[in-house]
Amino acid sequence: MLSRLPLVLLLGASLATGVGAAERSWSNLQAQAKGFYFGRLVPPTVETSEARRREGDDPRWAATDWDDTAWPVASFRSLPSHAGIFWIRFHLRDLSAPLPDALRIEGTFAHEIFWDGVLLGGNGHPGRNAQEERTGPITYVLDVPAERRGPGEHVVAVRASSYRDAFPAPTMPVRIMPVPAASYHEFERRSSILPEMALGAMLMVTLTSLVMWLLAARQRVLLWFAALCLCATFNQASGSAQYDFVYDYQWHYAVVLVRWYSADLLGLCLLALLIVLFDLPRRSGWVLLALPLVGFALGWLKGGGNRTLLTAALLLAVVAAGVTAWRGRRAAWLVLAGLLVTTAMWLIDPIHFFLASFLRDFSPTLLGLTAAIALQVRQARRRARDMELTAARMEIELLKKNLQPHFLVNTLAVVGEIIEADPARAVRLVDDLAHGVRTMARMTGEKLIPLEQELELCRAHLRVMSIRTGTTWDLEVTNADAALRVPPAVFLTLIENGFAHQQGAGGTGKFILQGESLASQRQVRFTFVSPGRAKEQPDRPAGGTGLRYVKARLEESFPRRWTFRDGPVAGGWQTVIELGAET
Amino acid sequence: MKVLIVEDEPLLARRLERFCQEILGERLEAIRIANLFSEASARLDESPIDLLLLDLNLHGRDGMDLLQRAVAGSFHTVIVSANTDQALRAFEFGVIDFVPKPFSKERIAQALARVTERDGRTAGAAKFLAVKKYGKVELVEIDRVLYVEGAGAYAELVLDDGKRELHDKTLEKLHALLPAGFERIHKSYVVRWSAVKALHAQEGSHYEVELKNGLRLPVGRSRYKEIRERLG
Repeated sequence: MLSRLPLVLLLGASLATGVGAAERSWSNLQAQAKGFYFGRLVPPTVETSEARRREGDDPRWAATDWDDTAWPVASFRSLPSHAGIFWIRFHLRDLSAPLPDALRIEGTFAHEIFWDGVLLGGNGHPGRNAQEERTGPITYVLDVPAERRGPGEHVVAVRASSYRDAFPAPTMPVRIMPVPAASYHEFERRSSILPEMALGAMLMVTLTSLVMWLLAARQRVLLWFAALCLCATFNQASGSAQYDFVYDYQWHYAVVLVRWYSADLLGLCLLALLIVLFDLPRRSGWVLLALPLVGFALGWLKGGGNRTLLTAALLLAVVAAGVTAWRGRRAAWLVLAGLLVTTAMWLIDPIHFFLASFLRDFSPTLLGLTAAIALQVRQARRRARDMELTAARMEIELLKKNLQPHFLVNTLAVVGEIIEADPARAVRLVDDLAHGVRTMARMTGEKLIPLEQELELCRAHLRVMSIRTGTTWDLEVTNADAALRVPPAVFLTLIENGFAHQQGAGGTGKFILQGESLASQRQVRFTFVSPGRAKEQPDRPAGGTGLRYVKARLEESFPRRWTFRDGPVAGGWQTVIELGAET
Repeated sequence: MKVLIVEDEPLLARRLERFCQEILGERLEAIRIANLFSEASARLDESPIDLLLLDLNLHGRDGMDLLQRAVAGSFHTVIVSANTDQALRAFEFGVIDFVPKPFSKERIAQALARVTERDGRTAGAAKFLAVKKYGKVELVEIDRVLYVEGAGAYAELVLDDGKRELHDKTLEKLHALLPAGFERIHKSYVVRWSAVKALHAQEGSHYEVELKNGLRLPVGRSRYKEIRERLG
């Protein structure tokens, strides 16, 4: 217990830190985003006036000396969307140096840029309606000629419309900043490297996992791992698309949706993977999957759902891995360690998480999962090999039953005794013996046979034993579906055990097999009774070779979906076997 | 001779019974059939037997325990079994013969001869002698037995460390089970020949062998000449 105390403290601290950090992140997200990323390229000496905005369209509004003081002050973070043509004006100056040689513009709008009253360029053509508007790139860099960047104040006027903005919100953010063109292009080139690397890596891992899934007996855990990596691939593809492709602004919403929902799906795939990897109970699994969705719905209602789901999924994944590790699953420790790092990174800096730092932040989780899956695959292979060995052993056991020297020799000894006195009986005995051997030979190599075939084998055996023991043995079968499939020689073994350990009353004896369909997961119940009282065998072991054979056969054909109980009942020894569905 | 047949297959039990009757004839005083040795053994004190024909599955601890209880008795045991792979093990524990199934009358006659003939010896090589002690059966390694002293219906095993163990079998029956290295030197003594050091003649035509540990045992007059020749 004490050895797990650090884990409990770590888990508790992580969760508390996580929830606190998430709260702070969500509430301050927009504030943190201001000036982020490209803002560092803007020389600190550049001064920008506040922007003013006016709805409507008048070419005179581009003029340097136009008096815009009556225009309302505008925020670049909430400009009108789908609302006709509007203008924005602001002033730029740099008291200590010439202004940078370019303007970087980013936003879901079509616009034209006027510099000191002169049209400098644009990404399309604003219009009074969607048909009139001509869309352009979501982001681009507009060169400002050197002769226009002279000392003093400059006026930037933007004529814009955004009919093709697919975002549902009534406002949209726009970024316009003066940047040195060469520095910006270098910055953009370097910034694209990490998402592209992450994209390539995720794609490779996805494909490798799929190939392994196909090769490694289609284990679900590999499929979920491939799905997780595919989500990350889409996410990183959406991130690198901004650098690698110049797409028109109306597609930006689709790109952002891919980024958001691939992140959400990544969270759900992570939980599904853990459910399969750690064999979590079905009910816990549903709860694990449902909680993030509830969080997502609540977050959506509050207007910030896209980050809630992944946060909830990561925190729940930490809890699931922690509990599994606590219960002694070695591989869960590796996953837990990776998840703790990733979750902390996500909570501390959610903005960078899916951009430049994805490889760094998500790699610990990927490594933990890979190691845990590798361990599981190795165990599965070992189990498969064991099962093959068991199958081979069972086949040998069946052959041994077929050739049991003790049974055969005793039967031949009886043939020797009666062949002269009662030749017809001796012939019957030999026929029944041969019939049993033939029936058994047909079963060799089979894991399951129809009950009818098993009963045929049992009855041939009982006919032989009837002659050998001088007692008429019979098998009474009630309510058992003859087509039902059972492992070979299971009931025969129970009959053999009956002869070995039970003593009949003499004269006649009846073995009873009763079938019963069940409504539960176990589909059928067989109740088998060997007649007679138990022989005096004080040192009889609890599970002899016969019972070991029966149980091994049940496990081979109905892994973990069978039960076996036996014990004395009035007039005999009862064995109850319940079987689930066939694999 | 009193015989007990333990065989749970009635046809085979009757076959054994018939063979015994035909082979032993008037020498057969009584013959009984039982399904299980554990059930029949309780009555052995009331009606002792000379020979047990036992069908026993020797696989597992249960079979070996039964075998040890059988060979610790005053009677000879012949195993009649289909488990021929356990024959050597059965001989190690002191059965006088192991008849594999299916059996013929000739093979049963051969087994009975080992019991009834004066110089009848075991068909195998015993390694242990089972002795009853405080209601339990203990195994004594034959390699530890120095000599066996007859005491009427019983015999005493004298071990190399001087300890003595009482056995329910007579000296004759034990001698039949002991390996070839044991010699009958007197009507009451069977000795391990490798333990004999010298032969001494005493006054009044009495003879003794001296063992390597200094112990002296009497030698029967009929055995003296042969022992002297063997010792050179």
